[in-house]
Amino acid sequence: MSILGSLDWNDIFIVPFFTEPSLSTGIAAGAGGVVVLGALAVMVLLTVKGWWKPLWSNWITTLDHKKIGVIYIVLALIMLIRGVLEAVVMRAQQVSPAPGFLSVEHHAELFSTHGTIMIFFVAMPFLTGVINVVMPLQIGARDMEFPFMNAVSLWLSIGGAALVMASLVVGHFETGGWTAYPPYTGIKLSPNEGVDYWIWSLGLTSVGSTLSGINFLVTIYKQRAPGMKLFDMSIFAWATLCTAILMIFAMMPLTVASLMLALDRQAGFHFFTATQGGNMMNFANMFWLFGHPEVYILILPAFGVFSEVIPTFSGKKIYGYTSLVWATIAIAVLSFTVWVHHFFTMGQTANLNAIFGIATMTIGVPTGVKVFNWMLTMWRGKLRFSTAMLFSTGFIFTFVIGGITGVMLANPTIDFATHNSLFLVAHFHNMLIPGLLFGMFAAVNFWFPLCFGFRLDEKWGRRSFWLWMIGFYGAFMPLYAIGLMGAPRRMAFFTEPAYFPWLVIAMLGALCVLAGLIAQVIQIWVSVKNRESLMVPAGDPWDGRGIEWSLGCPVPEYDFTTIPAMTSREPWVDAKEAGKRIMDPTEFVDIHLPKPTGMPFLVGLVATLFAFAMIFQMWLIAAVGFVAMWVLVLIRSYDTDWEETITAEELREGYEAHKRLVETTPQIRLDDEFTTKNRGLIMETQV
Amino acid sequence: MTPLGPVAAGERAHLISFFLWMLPITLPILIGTPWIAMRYRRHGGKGKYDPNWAHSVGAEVVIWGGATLTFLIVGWLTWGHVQGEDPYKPTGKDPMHVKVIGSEWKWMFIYPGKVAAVNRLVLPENTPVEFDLTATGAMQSFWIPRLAGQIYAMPGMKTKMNLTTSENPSQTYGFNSQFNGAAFPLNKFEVDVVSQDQFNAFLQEPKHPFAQLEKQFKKTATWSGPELFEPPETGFWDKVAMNPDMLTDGGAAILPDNAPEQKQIDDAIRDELHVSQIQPQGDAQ
Repeated sequence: MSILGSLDWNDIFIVPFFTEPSLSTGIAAGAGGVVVLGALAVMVLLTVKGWWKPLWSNWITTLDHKKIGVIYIVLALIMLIRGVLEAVVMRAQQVSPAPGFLSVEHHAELFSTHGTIMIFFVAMPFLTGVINVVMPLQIGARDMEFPFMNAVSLWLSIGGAALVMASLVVGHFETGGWTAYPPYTGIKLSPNEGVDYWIWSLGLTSVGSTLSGINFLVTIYKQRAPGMKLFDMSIFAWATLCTAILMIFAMMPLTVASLMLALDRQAGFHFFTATQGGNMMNFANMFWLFGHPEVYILILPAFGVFSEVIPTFSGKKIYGYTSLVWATIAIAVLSFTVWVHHFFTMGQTANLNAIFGIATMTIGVPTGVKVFNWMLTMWRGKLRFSTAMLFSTGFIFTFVIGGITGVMLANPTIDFATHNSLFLVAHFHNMLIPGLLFGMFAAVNFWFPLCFGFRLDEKWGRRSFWLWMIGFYGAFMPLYAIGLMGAPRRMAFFTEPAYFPWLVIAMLGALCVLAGLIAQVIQIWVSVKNRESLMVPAGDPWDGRGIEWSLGCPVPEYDFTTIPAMTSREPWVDAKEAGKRIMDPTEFVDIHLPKPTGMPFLVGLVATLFAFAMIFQMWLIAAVGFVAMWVLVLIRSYDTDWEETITAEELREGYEAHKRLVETTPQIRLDDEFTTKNRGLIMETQV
Repeated sequence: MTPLGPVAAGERAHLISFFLWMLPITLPILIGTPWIAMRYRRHGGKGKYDPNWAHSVGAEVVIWGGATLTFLIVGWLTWGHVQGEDPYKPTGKDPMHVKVIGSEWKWMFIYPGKVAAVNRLVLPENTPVEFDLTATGAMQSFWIPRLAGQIYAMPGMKTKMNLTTSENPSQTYGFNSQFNGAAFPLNKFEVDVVSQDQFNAFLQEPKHPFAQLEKQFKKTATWSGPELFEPPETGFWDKVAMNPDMLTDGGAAILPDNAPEQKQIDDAIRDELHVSQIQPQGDAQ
C-alpha cells in the first residue's frame, strides 16, 4: 500500500491530454490550467502588493460575523463564476454538431459539478454569508453565539469547495449528477475517485452547514436585544430562524447517506447494493429527506431578503407581518412532508403518490400568500427601483411561473411524463435563479454599505439585473418547450432536429446570463474604484427600516455601541419619525469580544487534508489529518486567554464620534438617493 | 406532445388542465406586479401613497381563501388522476405481459414463452400491455413518451408499468431517461405498434438461441448483435430480479478515455449519428 494511495500520474490534469489528445481532454487540461494559474496569480498579487499579512490578520483569523459573512459571499461568487461557465460550456456542447466536442463522461462531470457547486458551494455559502452579516445586526446582537464555531463552519465549507476545485487538477469528479444515486455511484459502476470527491466535499460542507444552523438558532434564541419578542423580529430574522431549524434537521440525512455510500464503496458494506440485501431506494429516500428541506433552506433566506428590500424601496410598512411569519413557519414545517415527490416514478402505490403530491401542493398556499403580501406591500407605496428592488420585482414575476410548473409537477401523473426531462430542469432553475440568486443579489446590493461603508454602483447594477432577467428567460423557457417534447436531462447531445432552434435560444440566454455576471464583476470593480464618492459614513443610505440602519457604515467590529432599546417592531422608524437621526444610547458597559485566531483556519486545513486523503485512499495521511483536527480543537478548548475587552469609555467615544458625523451630514431627500450627494441618513422629507 | 395512446393522452390532458387551473391565482400576480410597479412608481406614478397601510382583513381572507381554494381543487383533481391512472393498474382486460430488463446500455424484452428481443419492442395495436420492470447494473427509467410516462427499472426491484398501444400501427421509440454512463445517449429502443397479423408474424421470425443472448448481454457495451432470440425458461426474469449480478459482468459505466470499450462506444455513437442523418426523425412525440 503506497502512502499516496490510489493517486497516480494519470490523475494530474494535464497528463490525459498528452496520452490521449482530443478536444475533450484539452478542455479538461485547460480548466485545470485555469485553476492552477488562477491560484498562482492570486499568490503573486498578494506577494507583490504585500497583502499576505493583512489578509491573515484581518480576514483569515477573524471571528467577526460580518467579515465571516463577506468571506462566505466571496466564496459563493467565485464558485458562481465556475458554475455559470460550466453551464455555458454545456449549452455550447448541445448546439455544436452531434456528438459535440465533449465526451459523454466529460459532459457528465460538467453537469455533476455544476449541480453540486450551485447548490452546495454557491447557494449555501451565499445565504449563510448574508445571514452572518445581517441577522445579528437585526436582532441587536454583537456577534454570533459561537464565533469560533462560526469560523470553523466557514473554513470547512471553503475546504469542501477547494476539493471540488482540486478535482479539476487532480483526478476526476463524480458523473452521476448532484444527487449521486447508487448503484451507479457504487464502486462497480463508478470505480474512479469521482464519487469520493462528491462524498467528501459534501461531507465537509454539510458538517459546516449543520454547525451554522445551530449557531444561527442559538443566536436568535439567546442574543436578541432585551425586550425583543420573537414577533418583534424582522421577517429576515424569522426566515433565518426557520432556515436554521431546517439546516439542523436536514443536513444530517445527507451526511449519513453520503457516509454510508462511502462505506459501500471503500469498506465492502452493502447499504445500497442490490445483491447483498442492500436497497438503493433508501439512498433516494435519505437524499431527498435532506434534499427537499434543502430547497427551502435555499429559498427562505431570499424570501426574508425580499421582505426587507420591498418595504424599504416602497417607502411603506410591510403588509401582513403576521401572515408572512406564519407562512414562513408553515413552509418550514411542510418542507419535511413532501420528499417522495422526487421519485414518484419509483413504483409506489397510487395512494402514497397522491398523498405526497397533494402535500406538495399544500406548500403552494403559504408561498402564494407571501407573493401576494409582497405585492400588497408595493401597493399604495412610492416605489424606487434600485438594483435591489429590481431584483425583488423581477423575482415576484418570474417565480410565479416556476410556481405554476411546480404545481403541475406535483401531480404524479404529470410527473411521469416530465420526470428526468428538461421540463424539470427548467422548473428548478425557474425556482432557484429568481428565488435564490435574485434574492442574494438584492441582499448584496442592499446591505453592502454595512460591510464596506460605500454603496455599489447603480448603473452597472441595473444592467446586471436586465441581463440576468433576459438571460434567464432565454436560457430556460426553451427548456420547458423541448422538455415537453420529451428531451431528457443529462443528455450529451441530441439528434432530434426539432430541438435545435430551442437549444440555440437557450445558448444565447446562457451567454446573456454570463454577461450579467460580468456586469456584476464590473459593478464591484467600478464601485471599489469610485468608493470615495459612494461613501455613506452616516449610515442608512436608503431610508431603511431595520435597526441595522441605525448604525454608521461600515459597522464597527462591536456592532452596537449600546444594545438598542426595543420599544416596537421598528424602533429605528419610530426614532426617525420622532425627528431623531441617531438612536438614544442605553447603557455603556465593558464588553468582551473573542480575539482573532488562526485556529479555525488550521482546523479547516487539516480537515480538508483528511478528506483529500480519504478520496485517494491515503489511509495514513487521513488518520493523521483526522487526529490533528481534534487535537487542534482540544488545544483551543484549553486556551483561557481568548477574549479582549472593549471598555465602556471606548464605546462612548464611538457613539460620540458617530453622533458628530450624523450632525454634520446634511439632510438629503430621497430623490438624490442614487447620486453622490447621498452620504447616508437619507429621509423622505425635510421636516 | 402528440400522444399515440390513451395513457399519454391522459397525461397531456392533465398537464393542460393543471396549467389552466393555476391561472386564476397566478394571472393576478403576473398582471398585477407590472401594473403596481407602474402605478405606484415614485416618479410619475398615479397611485395614492399610504405608508402605514399594512393590514386588511378582507385582503387576508381573499388571499388565504383563494390559495386554499385553488389547492383544494388541484388536490382533488390529483387524487382522481392518480387513482385513475395508476401505472400499476392494467389499462384493460387480460393485458399482454412483457418482462423488461434494463442494463448498460441496452434493453431486453421477454415475451414469456414466445420470444426475447433486445432494443426492439413490437406490440400489437390497440392492446393493453403490462410491463414488468427490473434492471441490472444502474437504475434506469423506462419511458416511451408517446405512449406513457416513465417508471424506474431498478436492480433487485420489481416495478410495473401499464399502457394501451395506439389504435393503429405506429412507430415510435422509448429510452432510459436516468443517466447511466458512457453510452447513455444510445440507451434507447425502437417501438413498433403493428397489426395483430403482423405481430403474429413477428413471433414467428427466425430466432437465435437464448444462451447467446445471455452471454453477450453481460458485457457492458452497446448492443450490436441480432435482435431476436428464443425465450428463456419460465422464471428467468424473476431470477434476474432477485439476483441482478447474474446478467452483468460488473464492468464500469464510466470508462477511461483509452479503454477498448470506450472506442466501441465512440464508434457506436458515430454509427448512430450517421443513421439519424439519413433517416431524419419527425416530431418526437
